[in-house]
Parts: sequence; structure tokens; C-alpha cells
Amino acid sequence: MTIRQPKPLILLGLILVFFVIQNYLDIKSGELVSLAYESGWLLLGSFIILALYGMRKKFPFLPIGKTSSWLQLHLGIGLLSGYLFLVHSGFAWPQGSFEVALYFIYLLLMGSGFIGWFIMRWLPKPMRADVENLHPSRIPFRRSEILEEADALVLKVEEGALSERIIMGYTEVIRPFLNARPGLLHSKRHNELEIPTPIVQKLALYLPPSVLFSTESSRPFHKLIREKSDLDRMIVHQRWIRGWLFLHVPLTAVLFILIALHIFLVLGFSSGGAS
Amino acid sequence: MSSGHRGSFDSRKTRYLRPDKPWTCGRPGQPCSRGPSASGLCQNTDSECSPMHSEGWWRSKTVRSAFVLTLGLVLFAMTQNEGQIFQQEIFSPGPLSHAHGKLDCAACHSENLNSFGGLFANVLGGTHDNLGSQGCVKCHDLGDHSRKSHGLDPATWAELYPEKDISELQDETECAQCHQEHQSSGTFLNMNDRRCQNCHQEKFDSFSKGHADFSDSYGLKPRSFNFDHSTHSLRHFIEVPDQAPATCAGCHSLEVNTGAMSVLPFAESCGGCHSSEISGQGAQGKNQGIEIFKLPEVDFQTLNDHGLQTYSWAKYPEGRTNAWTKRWFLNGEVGDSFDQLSDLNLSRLERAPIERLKDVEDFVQLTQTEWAAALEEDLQQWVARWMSPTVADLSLDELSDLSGQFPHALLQFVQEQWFVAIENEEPLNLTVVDEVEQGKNSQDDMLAGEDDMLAGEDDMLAGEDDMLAGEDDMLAGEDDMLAGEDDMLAGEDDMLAENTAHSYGDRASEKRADEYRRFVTGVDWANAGGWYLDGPSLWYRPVQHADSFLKAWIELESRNENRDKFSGDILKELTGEYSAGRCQKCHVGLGIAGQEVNWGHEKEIKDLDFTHFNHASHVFNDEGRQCNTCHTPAETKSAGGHDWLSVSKESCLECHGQQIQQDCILCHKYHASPFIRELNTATMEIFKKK
Amino acid sequence: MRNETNNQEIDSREHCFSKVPVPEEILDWLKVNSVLSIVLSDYKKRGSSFEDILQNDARIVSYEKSEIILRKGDYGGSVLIPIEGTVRVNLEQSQEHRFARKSKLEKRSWFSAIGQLFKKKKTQETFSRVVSQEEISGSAGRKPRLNTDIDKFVSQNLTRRIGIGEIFGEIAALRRCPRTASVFAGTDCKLVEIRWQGVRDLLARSNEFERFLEDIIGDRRHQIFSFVNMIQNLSEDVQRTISSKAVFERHGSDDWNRNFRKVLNSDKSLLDQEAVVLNQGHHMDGLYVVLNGFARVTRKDGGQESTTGYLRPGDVYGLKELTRMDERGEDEVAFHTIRAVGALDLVIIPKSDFNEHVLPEIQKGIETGRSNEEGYISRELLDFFVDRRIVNGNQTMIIDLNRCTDCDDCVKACAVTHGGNPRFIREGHRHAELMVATACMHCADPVCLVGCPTGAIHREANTGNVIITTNECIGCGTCVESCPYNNIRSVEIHDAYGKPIIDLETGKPALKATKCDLCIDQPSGPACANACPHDALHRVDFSDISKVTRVIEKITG
Repeated sequence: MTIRQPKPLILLGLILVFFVIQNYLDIKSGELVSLAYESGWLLLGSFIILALYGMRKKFPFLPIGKTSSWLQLHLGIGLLSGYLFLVHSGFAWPQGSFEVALYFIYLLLMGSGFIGWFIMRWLPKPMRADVENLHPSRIPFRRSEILEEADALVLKVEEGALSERIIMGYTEVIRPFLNARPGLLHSKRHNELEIPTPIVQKLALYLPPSVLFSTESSRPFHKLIREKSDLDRMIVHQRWIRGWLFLHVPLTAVLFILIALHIFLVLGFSSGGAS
Repeated sequence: MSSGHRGSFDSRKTRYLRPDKPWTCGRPGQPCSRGPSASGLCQNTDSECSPMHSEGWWRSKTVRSAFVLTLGLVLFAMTQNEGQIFQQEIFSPGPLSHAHGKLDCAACHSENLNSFGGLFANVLGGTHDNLGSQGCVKCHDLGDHSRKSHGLDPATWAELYPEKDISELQDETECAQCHQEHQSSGTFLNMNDRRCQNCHQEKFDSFSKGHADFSDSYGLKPRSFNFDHSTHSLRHFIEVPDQAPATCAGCHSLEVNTGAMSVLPFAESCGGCHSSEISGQGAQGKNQGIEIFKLPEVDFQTLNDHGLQTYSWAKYPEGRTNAWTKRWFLNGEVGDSFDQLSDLNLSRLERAPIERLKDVEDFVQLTQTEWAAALEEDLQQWVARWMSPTVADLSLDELSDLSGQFPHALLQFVQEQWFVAIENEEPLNLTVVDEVEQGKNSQDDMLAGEDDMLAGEDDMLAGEDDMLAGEDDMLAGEDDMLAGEDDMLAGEDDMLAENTAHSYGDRASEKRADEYRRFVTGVDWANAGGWYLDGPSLWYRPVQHADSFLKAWIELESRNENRDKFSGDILKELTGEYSAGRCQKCHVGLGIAGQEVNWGHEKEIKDLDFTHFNHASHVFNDEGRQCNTCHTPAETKSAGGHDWLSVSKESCLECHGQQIQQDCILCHKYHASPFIRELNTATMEIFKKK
Repeated sequence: MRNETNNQEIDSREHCFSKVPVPEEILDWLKVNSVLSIVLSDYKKRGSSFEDILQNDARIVSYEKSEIILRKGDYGGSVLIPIEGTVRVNLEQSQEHRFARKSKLEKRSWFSAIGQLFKKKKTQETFSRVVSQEEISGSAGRKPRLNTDIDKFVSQNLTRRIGIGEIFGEIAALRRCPRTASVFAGTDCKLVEIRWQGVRDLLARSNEFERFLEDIIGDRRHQIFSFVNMIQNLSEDVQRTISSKAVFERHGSDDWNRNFRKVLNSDKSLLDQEAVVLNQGHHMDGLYVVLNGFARVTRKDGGQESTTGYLRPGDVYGLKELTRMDERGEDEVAFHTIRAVGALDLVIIPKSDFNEHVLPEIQKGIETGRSNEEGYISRELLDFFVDRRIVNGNQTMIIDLNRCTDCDDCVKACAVTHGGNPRFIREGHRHAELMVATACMHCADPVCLVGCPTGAIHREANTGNVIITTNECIGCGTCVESCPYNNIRSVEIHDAYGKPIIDLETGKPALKATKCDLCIDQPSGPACANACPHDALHRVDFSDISKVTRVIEKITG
């Protein structure tokens, strides 16, 4: 994960470590005036600021600070909220169904945030190497084009000793592969051929791939498979880079309700602050 | 220039993409420039597509569904427990401590928290006891001030530390502030050191390094026993080692939970040495008993001279009557008569006018009548004669004690002895000679007991006033009344005269005298305690420690409401320094009318106990560790009036501070009231009314 | 010339060129009574006759009294010849404000800006007001006027009358400069407007005409310099001296935007295709000042020729050589080769005049050339920029591909601020880790402006941004075709119910040209840069290479 603004983050990190240790010792020693109250309000404030980032994105035309600056703020406050969360929960596991739910939803939210941070920093570079000059929206089109080309190609396979095998290899292995959608992970790539290893292994049942791709008419298959696997990689990348937000943002809504209920319960069942 | 061999970008052909719209064109090639309408219909008439939802649409859909789902779940959860929206398992912040495992929410939290309105009202201005401190005290009784700091009334604080500002101590705390009931790994059920530090900012490293030395732990409390540990352990026990107790346990019983040293019953502790003192063993005559009823000396000679009747009377009465008897007289019908004669010296009536003499005569007669009347009453009424008229509401047990089980037979006997029938002209004092002999005997006795008397002469000197009459008697008895002859001249002459008149009586009476002797001198009979008659007085001899008769009368006369003018004298009689029973020797604070008697046998529970030493875990009573390992008697009494050196920190440091725990809360307790002791000893009243 | 007009619509201002034929009489009149007669004196017909050219590229326009014909500072691509009436040029600088555009887009208030979010439009480019047919076909075009008493204005201020048959507006048309003066109608008048393509054709066929025009332009030469920074700061007489001595050169073709793609895709290398203006190692004859167009600066080092920089309008080349010349007192050779990229309009100030007059004055503050000599930008990247003529841009949108996560927040922001229609495409030519998006670059040489019939697309005087005034646009698509980078797109417009507005004349949905307008009406400025969460989007100004360098450094790390 690249840190774009290392100095303030390092400083923040050091300060937080100091406070974490301090607070950990205090809380574990069982002091009476619990930090949970103050840290709770601070946590709420930081949650609001964090959620405001989402709102800010709706108003790109207002001169209230660039979105990239807001993102830095979001990340910093996210770190801070992690520390506050530790303090607020007393460095302890939760008890009670509701509190457990609240705790783990918060962890999930924060965890997805950190994972997203990592993804957003790390993924763009490998993503560019996937398919050049292809806008993600055109991927489905290109996939169908590849299928059509492959179907046209297979018709042109010339008769010969291997043709039957080639055709079988096509129908059993290549075409299903060209049709299939990828999941969430890359498939390993064969070093030389640059196509997924499972395909190579499956093709080998019918014909050694090197033989398969040697003939003039069937060499384009290699190209198509390669392109399709590149597209697959792009799809996987796109899924990760867009998909994590499908966890992160809805959890904010969920947590919002839970936090409201939590505050309601805590204040309702309390008898006022400790003096 | 980068190669665009795959799907090359052609800026002419590319159309605007609209990622913010909910629908995107579903055309497999280039999305059309128009895009689907807002309601999702393809607007391209040339090549229709089936529009798809855009990613942004899916994202906002997910957010919305998550929101609604959560809201639904939460509301559903609220409806689960019948009627109780918030007070239910699902919202509980953790299980309760295991002792409370069976309690439900309503046991501690107030009912009004079960509605949105109620909870919201508390959010805004929460001062209701929602943490359930009131629930706690339903079972855990910690006194009236359990919610003040250390469980003490601020007034007590003001007394202890008058110079400090205690305004903060008016604040009430909730039990739950320290005792976090809902357990999680971060909560504490009880106090610990860190919590003490919230208010008490003591700055030292640990118990072994920097803790102040212990203050005088015995304090300034008033003693109820006049027992001097230092003289006993440093002198007396050494003098009589075979009678001395081997350990403190010889006299004390250590209550291990509270650290209170209760004293073993008298018989086990002090009785070994001091029983004889109480029983008056070795004491002579008057020291052995308490003169209860004493008939006054009446100058019958004068009465005779004036031709008035003389009635039978006790033989050889001496001097005036005592307080008890006065009260007896006053309580009875003879009261008025007696009252009238209060200014007269009944033993010398020579100069009294005739009318007065007649009064005396009446008095005497009435006395006898009274006694006869008393014989027909019951014991309770008999006792009532001796008590102050203001006494009321005595239980049967108390009356029984106060009566001393006075036997009816004794009454009868006394009547026969003192108030012989008027018709009986037998001279009364037949025992003059016997008396001389008696005196001899008693002289022997007294001589034998002279040591006592002499030894106790110091004491006697003190009590000389009271025992003036008695002393004269005794002196008379000793020296054949030589020394006191001057004093008793008047009476003695009379007596001698009378006696000599009869001194050469017939042998028959002498014989009878012999017979009577044994009855009349009941002091020998009463060597195990009880009533006896001696001459003109009724005596009671206490022998046991905590004699019930004595005890009852001391208590009675001490009570303020029972006081009358005689109480003081009576108390003096009972609790004098050398009175029979010797109560005053050990018990402190007796004999003061109006003051509640403290025999000192209750457990001395310290009212304020901030520190608590658990003897049970420390005192092993083996050779190595005995009481005197830590407790040392002091040679001189401390300022507080006790005779122990305060326990020093050194005793503790041997173990604590090395490898053994030295938390603050090991010794210092938060709840200072006596109730914590009960808690610690697990005698909590859980069946108290709720 | 008859003043009466035919019943046939002569007032064809609203119509594009070549739509309505020019009446024969007027052509005849022109041949005789206007400066075009010079053309005919040595006209070499090369495929098209004089009439053909005029029919294709000329139109008759009429103005009412007090209407503004030309605005100073506007870009325009046509010359005008009055046929009837009085046409006046305003020479009074202080009164220029009267001619300024009134339609200045105001920034929205925050309230109105936030309101953009809530206006649920059924589809994009929805007009909540009624868009009339006139607006679509341009017949309701605004007729800017001088809102003052013309006669009084004329009497009080310095103006010059352009006579019947005289030509004006040639500087802007031929040089692609902004109009140098404002022209208004003193009375109702009628003019012939010839667009520059026609003038170019005529020029190509008549040397006399060329000379004639050059003379005219020469008289007003000093006006040409006025926008060149370096020369502007010189004293008045120095300016006159050098303008009289300066040599004007033109290289390349003015409609470079049309053959740009051809040039890129041809087999020959670009360097071969570009005309050389100055060769490295050749004799340095003076200071090269770029008036218009672009130049590539290359250097040959050991057999390898590589681009080291570029020149834009207003840049100069040769300062270094000339100052050395001055110091050493001997002739210098050029250090670099200069080639014309697309079109190049040069002015060469001879070295003697330069050293004598100009150098002393600028000793105080030397502006170094724009060529990139330190190598902050890699050669390949520089090639990429110059080859694709991205150096034209003042607000080029460059996206850092190592940061871009395809979140499309920039596009969404642009769409939100422009009625649901984003004004750019987040795709474009890539080079290594950066990509130049298809967004209007607000070029230094805005070829899109030339040819707009209504003047809807114009350059803002104060900011230099190129803006389309929507309600003046008639959707003819000239600018869409002109833009060499395809940054302008025609879009269908819709009414409040979401239905496309139909142009009754053609029966097809009405179109309007759209492009990035730098969000001039939004409180924040460009919403795209504001919205990018990863700081991946940059609007780069190529006028100052140090700015470019900064951005590139940030991207490449």
C-alpha cells in the first residue's frame, strides 16, 4: 500500500501508539472514571465526519475542499477512529448480543475500509497492464466479439489429421472458456503460453497446446484465448476495485442505525455522568 | 505512442458515457448516445436494447436495502420480549455476575425504561436511578448512607475531619459505578487499587516502599473494662505463672472475621484469679454481703420512760437505717410516719417532745404491721417495696432478678426474730453474752481476716464514711467495742445497760441463745451466696460473677427514669469500691445514676473501619506466630487510654512487599460501615423484606 | 446598386455559407466596385471560377443601425465588404466596453448549485424553458447592439468609416488572430461576408490580391504584435520599428485540423511531414516570434534527432543565440531545428534590429524560451504531446493512470453539473502511465471557433476559456467537425417532458454542440478535478512548461 502523504500519517501513527499504550494501561487497571463516555462522543463525531465524505461526493461543484483532500481526512480520521474504538470498547471483547453485533459491524466497516484503501492504491497499476485502451464498459462487447471470431475461426480449420482433435479441443475446452465469466480470483498463467494453466492442462488431453497453436489456422486461437484471459483479469480487477464499496457503504447505513440505538440505550440507562 | 491494437480508442466514435444514471444502454457494442430513459425504457428506435441497471443503481439499492433490513431487524428485536422493549436479553451489555445470574432486568432497572418515551426522557434529563442502586440495596443492606462515599454519613465525616471541606462527600454515588454488574472482559465487579486512586491520590510506590506507618489502631474509644494488660502481662502473670494464661487465648476469643477480641466469660478468663474476690472469700462480716434491710435503732428506753409501749424490734440495731430501708418504709403505709420522723434521731430520743415520741411509737407499731402485711403479699409486691415508685414496665425476668428469690420463709423468720408478738414479754436481747462470745468469735474471725481488713484498710479508709456505723460495729466487735466505746456510748450504754440487766440471765435463755445462734448468724450459711439475716439487717451475699441480683439492681438504679433520691446511695452501696461482689473493681463506669450501664461484654464493633485485617488468614497460633508477634503490651497507657503499642508496619513487611500481594484493597475497604463486616462474614440478610 | 432587396431572402445571416446563393447582381457589383476587382486583375482560374468561390464561401448579411458586426477580441474567420450603408470601426479604446458581450455567465450561488442535484430531469440536456424553432435554426439569433445613440456616439468618439467596397476583418481571418477592432453599423447596411476559405482560395489565385492584402495587413502590423507578451512591453517606437522591419512567414496550412488525422496515420514519420522553418546549425537570422500555430523544437545529437521542446503562440525562439551573438560579436548558428506543426505563423525580427533595439530593453528581464532543455519530461512523452498536438491545450485533461481507479467520479461530477450529460469522455490516447482524456483543452489556437455561424462558440476575453453559449448554438456541427481532437460532441436536446425537441426543418431531433466549459458557472470551478478522490485528474496548461513539468513529476513520481 503506498502512502501518499507519509509524514502526517507517521506523526499521527506515533501519537496514536502513544495514546493507545497509555489508555490501555489505564483501562486495564480498572480506573473508575471510564473513558468510554468521552471516547464515545468522539467516536460519534469521527463517524459523522467519515460519513460526511460520502456526502461530499454528491457535491463536487462546491468549493469546500478537493475530494482528494477529503479522502486524506477520511483516512486519517479512520485511523483515529480505530484507536478511539479500542479505547471505547475498553480493549476488550464485547458481551451481549447487541454489543457484539455493533462491535463486529464496526470492525467489518473499518476492515473493509482498510482493505479498500489497500485495493485503491495497489490495483490501478496492474490494472493498466491488462488491456490497453479498452474502456471497461466495452468489455462485454469485446467478449462477444471474441466469441464470434472464434466461432468463425473454427469453421476455417482445414481438414487434416489433427483437425478433429482441434475441433474437439475447441468445443470442449476453448469455447466454454471463452464463454465463461471469471470469479473473484485470477487463474494461474502458464509462463510460456500466457494463458491460464487449467486451460493448458485441459487442452493437453486433446492435443499438446504447442501443436495446437502451431498451425496457421489455429494460431489465432492462441491470440484469442490470451486476449480473453486478459479481459478476465481486467474483470476480476474491476470487480475488486468496485466491489469493496458494496460492502463499505451499506455498512455505514447499518452502523448508523445501530449507533443511534446504542446511544439511545446508553444514555437512557445511565444516571448521568460520573463526576 | 502506445499501440492500440485491441479495441482501439476512436474518439470520433465514442459517445458520452453516463455513469450517474440508473440505467445503462444494454446494446452489446457501443452504447447508444441516447441511453435509456429514467424509467428504464430503451429510447433508441433504431436498435432496441434491453437496458441494464447501472452500477450506481446497484450500489444505492444495496445501501437502501441494508438500511431497511437493519431497521427492520432492530424493530423486530424490540418486539420480542413481551412489553419490554429495551429491557431484554438482546440488549443486555453482558451477563450478570454469577451470583445474580437468575435476576431479570426489572430487578434493578426501573420500569419506566421500557418505553421509547421513558427512555427518551431519561436521555434528556437522566437522573432516575436507572443503574439500579435502589435495586442493589434491596438485598445488600449497607446502612442508611450506602451511597455516600465510603458508606458514611457526611456528618460523621465532619466529625472525623472537622478541618476539611467535605462538601464533595455529599454527592451520592451509584453502586454500579464501581461494581459493574454486566460482565465483560473489560469490566470489574469490585474495587481495585486503581479505583481508589480516582479520589485518593497517594503518591508512593507500594506498600513496602513509602506507605505511611500505622496509626494507633486501638483508638480513643472508652474502655468498659478496667483491665490493665501491661500490669497483668508484665507483672501479675509473671508472679503467678501457674495461674497465668499461656496465650491470649486464655482470656480472649479472637473473632477471626472482624478482628474483635472478645473476652471469654468470666469463669474462663478472670475467674481463675478473681473469683474469690467476688465471692468475698476471706472477707469478713460486712465485706461479704450487702446490707439490704436495716432496721433503725430506736431509743426504746426513752419510750419506756415515758410510759409508751415498746414493741418488739430487732436485737441490737445500730444507727440509722440505710437508703434501701428508707425506701421500703416510704413505699409502705408507714411511709408518712417515717417521713415525719426523718428529722429525728431515733436512737436518741431523750430530748424529743412527747408528741414525737408518740409518733415514734406509732412508727414502730406500723412497721410491724407493715411487715405482717408484707407477709400476705407476693414476691413481686415485696420487690416493689424496694424500688423507686417510678419504676414501671418490668418484665418477669427482671423482677425475678431483682427479687433475689427472696424466700417467704425468711420473711416469716425475720418477723419472728424481730417482731415477736407484743404479748411476748421475753426479753429480746438474750444474746448479749453470746454476743460477746460472738464478738470473740467474730474477733477471731476478724483477726483471722484481719489481714484482709488491714490489708484492705486502705480500701476501708476510703469507704469509711459509709461504713462508719459498720466500722463502729466492727471495732466494737474487735476490741470489745473498746475503741468505739466512746462513739457507741449512748447506744452501748443502753445496750450494756440492757444487756447487763439481762446479762446475768437464766441459763435457759442461754441455751436458747445457743440454739438461735445458728439461725441468726446466717452468714455462715450464705457462703454460697444468697440471703442471710444478721442481727437487725437482712443481707444478701453475692458469690458468683455477674450475680443476677446485684446486676439487676445496679442496672435498675442506673436508669434515668428510675431515679429517685435514694438511687445514688443505693448505687454507692452496690458499686462501691469494696462492696460485696467487687463490681466496681473491673467494670468501669458503674454507679453513676442516669448512665446506662455498660458491662463491657458486647462485641466492640468499631463504627468506622476503613482498614480490615483478616486475622483468620494470619493467626496460626503456632509457636512461631502468636498474638505477641505483632501486638506488644505497653508499659504505660497510651493517650487513648489503652495499653497496647500500636501494630507497626514492620510486622507486615516481612511477607507483604516481598512476594506476597500488596494491593491497597487488600487492607483498605471502601464500604467502611459496620455492615461490611456482615458482608464479609456472609451473614447477609437476603430474606429481608423487599 | 439597388437598395431594394428582393423578396427572396437575402438577409441570410442566420444561414450558413453556401446555403443561399449570392445574387448575380451583387457578384457583378463586387467585381467592379469592391476590392475584389483586384482579384480579377490577375485571376488564375484553377478549377474554380471567381463566382464559384464566392457562391461557395460568401453570403450576404444585413445589419440594422447600431448592431455590432465585429467584436474586438472575437475570433472570426471571415472578411466583410460593405455593399450598402455605413459601417464604422471604433477606434476609441475607452468605449470598447460597449461592445463587450453581455452574456457573461455568472457563477451560481451555492443554493442554486445544490439545486442541481434535486432537479430530477427525465433525461440529459433537458431544457426547462421552451426552445423555439428560431433558436434551433438560428433565426432567433441574438442581434447584439450598441445600446446608445449611434449618431451621438459617432460624433463624440473617434471612429472610422469603412467605405463601400472596402474590405475589413482580414487580419483575423488570415492570421487567426482575434479581431483587432470592433465594427458596428452606423446605419442599416448590407455586407458581403466571405469566409477565410474563400479568401484563401482567392489569394491562391491572385498574386495582386495577395500583395494588396499584405499591404493592408502590413499597415496594421503592429496590431498583430499586441498580444505577444515580450513585444508588448517594449516601447511604442521600438514596436513600430520592428514591425516595419519584421518578416512575416507562414508555414503549414491553416486547416491543419482537417488533415491532422491523416498526418498521424501516414507511414512517413512526423518529422518528415513537418515543414522545417529553421535548421540546426544554420545561420541564425533573427528572433523567431510565433504569432500563431505551433512549432516543434528538435535537436540532433549524434545522429539521433529528438524533440526537446515546443513553441506556442506568443513564444519566442533565438534569444540564447542572439544574446551570445551580441556578447561575442560574431554570428551564431541555430542550436535547434524548428519545424512547423500544423500551421505556423511566424514573425522574424532581423537580428540586427533585434540586437540594436530590442535587446537593450529586455536585458532587465530575460524570458527564456519555452523549449525544454532540462529533460524533466521524457523525450517520448514530449514526442507524444507534440505529435498529437496536445501542446495546444491550456486546460488539457491528463489522467494519472496509476492512481485512477475507474470510479468515474469525475464523469459523474461533470454530468451532475451539466444537466445529466458529461462533457467529456474518460478515455483517450495513452502514453505510459498517463492518458489525455477527450475533453476540451481550451486551445491556444482554437480552430473550433472559426466557422461558427452565430458566434455561439467564443473565447472569453478575461479567462481565455472557450465557451459555447447554448442558446446561440444552432447545432450546425461546424465546431464538432473542426475540433482536431474530437472534444466537441453534438447532443440531442430534450424538453421538460424528456422528449427530444424536433427541428421542424429537418424533422430530426435538434442538436446542440457541447463540450467542457470548465464549469465556469459552478462555484468550485472544474468539478472533475474537484471530484477525483485520488488526485488523478489534472488540467494542464501547456503555455508554461514548468507547470507541465510539475504535473508530470507528480504523475511519474
